[in-house]
Amino acid sequence: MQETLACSPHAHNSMTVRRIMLNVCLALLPCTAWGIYSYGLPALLMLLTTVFAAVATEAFCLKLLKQPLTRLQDSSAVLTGWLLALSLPPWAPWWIAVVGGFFAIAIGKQIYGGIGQNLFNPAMLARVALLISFPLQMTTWPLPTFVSGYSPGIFESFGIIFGNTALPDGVTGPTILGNFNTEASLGTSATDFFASSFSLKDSFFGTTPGSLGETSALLVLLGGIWLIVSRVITWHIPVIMTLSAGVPALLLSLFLPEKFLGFNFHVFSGGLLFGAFFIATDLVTSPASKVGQIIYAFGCGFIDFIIRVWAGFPEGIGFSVLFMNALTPLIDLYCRPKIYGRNLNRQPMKKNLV
Amino acid sequence: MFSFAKIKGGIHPDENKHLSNHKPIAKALLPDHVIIPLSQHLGAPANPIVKVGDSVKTGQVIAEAGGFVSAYIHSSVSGEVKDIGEYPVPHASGLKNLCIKIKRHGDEWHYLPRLSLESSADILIERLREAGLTGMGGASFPSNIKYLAKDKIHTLIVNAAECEPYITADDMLMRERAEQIISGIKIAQKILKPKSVIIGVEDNKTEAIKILKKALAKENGDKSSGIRRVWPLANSTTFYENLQISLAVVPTKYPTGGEKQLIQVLTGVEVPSGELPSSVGFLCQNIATVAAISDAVLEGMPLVKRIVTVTGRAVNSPGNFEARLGTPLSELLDQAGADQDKVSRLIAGGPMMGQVMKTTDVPLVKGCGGILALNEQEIPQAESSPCVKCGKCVNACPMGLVPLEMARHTKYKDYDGAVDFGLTDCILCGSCAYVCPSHLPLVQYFQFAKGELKKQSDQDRRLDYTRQLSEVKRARLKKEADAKAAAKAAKAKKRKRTTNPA
Repeated sequence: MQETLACSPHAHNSMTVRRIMLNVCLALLPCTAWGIYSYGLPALLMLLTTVFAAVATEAFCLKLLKQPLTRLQDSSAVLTGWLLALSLPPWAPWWIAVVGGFFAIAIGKQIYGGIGQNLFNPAMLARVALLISFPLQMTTWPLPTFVSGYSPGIFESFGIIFGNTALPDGVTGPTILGNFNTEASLGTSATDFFASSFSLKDSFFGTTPGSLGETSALLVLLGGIWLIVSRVITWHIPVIMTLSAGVPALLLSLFLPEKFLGFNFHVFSGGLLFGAFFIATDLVTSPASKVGQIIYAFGCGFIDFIIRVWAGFPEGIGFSVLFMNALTPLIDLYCRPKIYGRNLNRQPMKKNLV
Repeated sequence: MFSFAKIKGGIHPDENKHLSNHKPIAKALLPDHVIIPLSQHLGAPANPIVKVGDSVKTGQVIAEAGGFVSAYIHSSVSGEVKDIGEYPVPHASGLKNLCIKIKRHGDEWHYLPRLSLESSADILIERLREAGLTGMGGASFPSNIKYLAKDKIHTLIVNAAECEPYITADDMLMRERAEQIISGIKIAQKILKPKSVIIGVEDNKTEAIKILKKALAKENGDKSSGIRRVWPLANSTTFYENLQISLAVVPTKYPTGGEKQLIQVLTGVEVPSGELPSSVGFLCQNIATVAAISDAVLEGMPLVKRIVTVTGRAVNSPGNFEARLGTPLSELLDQAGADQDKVSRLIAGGPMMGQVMKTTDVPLVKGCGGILALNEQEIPQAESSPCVKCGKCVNACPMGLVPLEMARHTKYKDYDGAVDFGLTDCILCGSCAYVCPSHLPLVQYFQFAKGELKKQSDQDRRLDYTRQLSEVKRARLKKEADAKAAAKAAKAKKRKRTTNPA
């Protein structure tokens, strides 16, 4: 008989960190495939470059920290790179991808001590850093190839990502959120804009410009539902986050329809759904308890709504998630579950013969 | 008495009860020798009252309770005392402990005088003590102590949840010996005079529930409407009411069979932290113990045998055995056809809270309901990796603790921090470790931290004691000095008076 000195329990549900990460990757497949279909080969090249940069940085850091390279097997670096790529403009140049991948892993994760230790969502940290540093490249949105009719070949694709190939006229356009910000500053009323420019169908199926992975609400939802079904996440964060941006939008648009756009616009365009299912639900940087998750999700959604409506940036998922990430330790400290046999102040309950 | 309550958290591990839940209880072969540990219960070890060479009968007392919280130990076979010495006992440490080894010559019984339901409560409680009864669900708390709090008890809960995977001993007991269980409950009722009695069974034991229902209906004397189903909600506890004893079918979920959890799910009441269930008027008793109470009182039979499930996929014919206490596990494993080459982990108890045995020489004890010989595929293999703070442990914890923080503080030897996140309330059920995707040995952390805390508090107590001693000494010295000074002053005064008569 084998000599073992194992501690109980002698059973496990066989979930591993690696399986969680791969499950999320699986859930990302539909919207990724759609992104690559919409934006062609350059998008694929950008995605691969980002993932490669992230994994290479992870390997480099592990080596530097004298940790086993087998840690790479948990696939968390692949996922971080992948999520980052999906939140970038589809034709972002290679150096954006590389700097982003490096920043996400090195500054976003390993500096804190590696997996599980980071305070902020690495992908969002990198995205926000890129957005602030390189605003031009980070807001150049190509139109889907089937909209613009321009689908770059192999040579051109390499040129767009790795070279300096200038894009022909008419193949880029604003995102719908950005468009509304511009139009509103020109005095267009929300009602007019909604009637003329917004199409729920386009946002739902994903034929408007936007980040690589966020355009099709339908496919994001599909992946998100898979995550819930496979028990990687629970419904709390995505549903509450979506509602806490959607409901204020609904209320404001009911009372001030001239100035504010409604529920459908805010929920189905931009990165809200993508953020709600894939970004805010990051295990490491979201609170552990259910109550904490609810507060956190509310903050993520509501702050995103505020940024979209009143701040300078058309989209605020990155900022709102990072902001709530910073609050997560505090939320975790104060939102603990009620302990059995103790009251809410964590004092033993009174002996009481019932 | 209904309740909507559910336990917080909890998990649904693979039950694996099908391996043995169709096997009737078989009488295990009597072993050639038994090794009977003197510490099978919570509290002080028993003191041996036999010498090497003495001949003993089955049921004869061989060790007396070594304190208030302790238990009598009886010989489980008739034969000759061969040795009183250190033998491996079923404890995870693998350490040896004092045992009495008896060579079996036969099986001649020595019974206690029979009692009946007419006997007084005090006599019945004394019988529980004489018969060496301890809780048979795992914790092995001496039963008579529980019943001493009889005036406080308003509800007797019979724990038949058997939530540990694999184990089917209580299930089979209910199927085959329902009458015995009911007579045991009646004895407990006689002692406690509770307002209500609830048997809590998990809904995966359909056969046992059917049989218990029938037996309870018969008890009620009314075949048609003896049992009423009161709580027909899906996925919550179903109560079947009878005049005296109600049967509650609770949803299957680990660890519903934990004492605190069962009380919660049946009544909605939480036992205050750091207190016993009796502090809120409950007495929770394992169903095997209830059956043993019936034997002890009505048959005069001390606790010398129990039903144990020998199972696992390294065993060819898993089953439920009625075996004498002190039987080496190796003999039981042989009778169940264990394949020694396939056994990669041997466990006394269930897979969730059971302890690894390093050798098959250890004996069967009062609190052991299962012996698991698991093969390689059945045990978790993955290595642990850093915590990713996913919070799955927080959701699985039935006590509402924050295991990830407890583990983190333990890792940095900050035990007070771990206590702040609930360490002292941890019941070591292992639900957190079962769901941990990083495969952290959380239970090990918590056991270690609890051990360190105990060490700390023992040390504090010792320091406190020394401090008290020295304070007493200082006070005594001061008193002596004061007395001396006073005497001196008095003397001086006297002298003054005598020298200056003026």
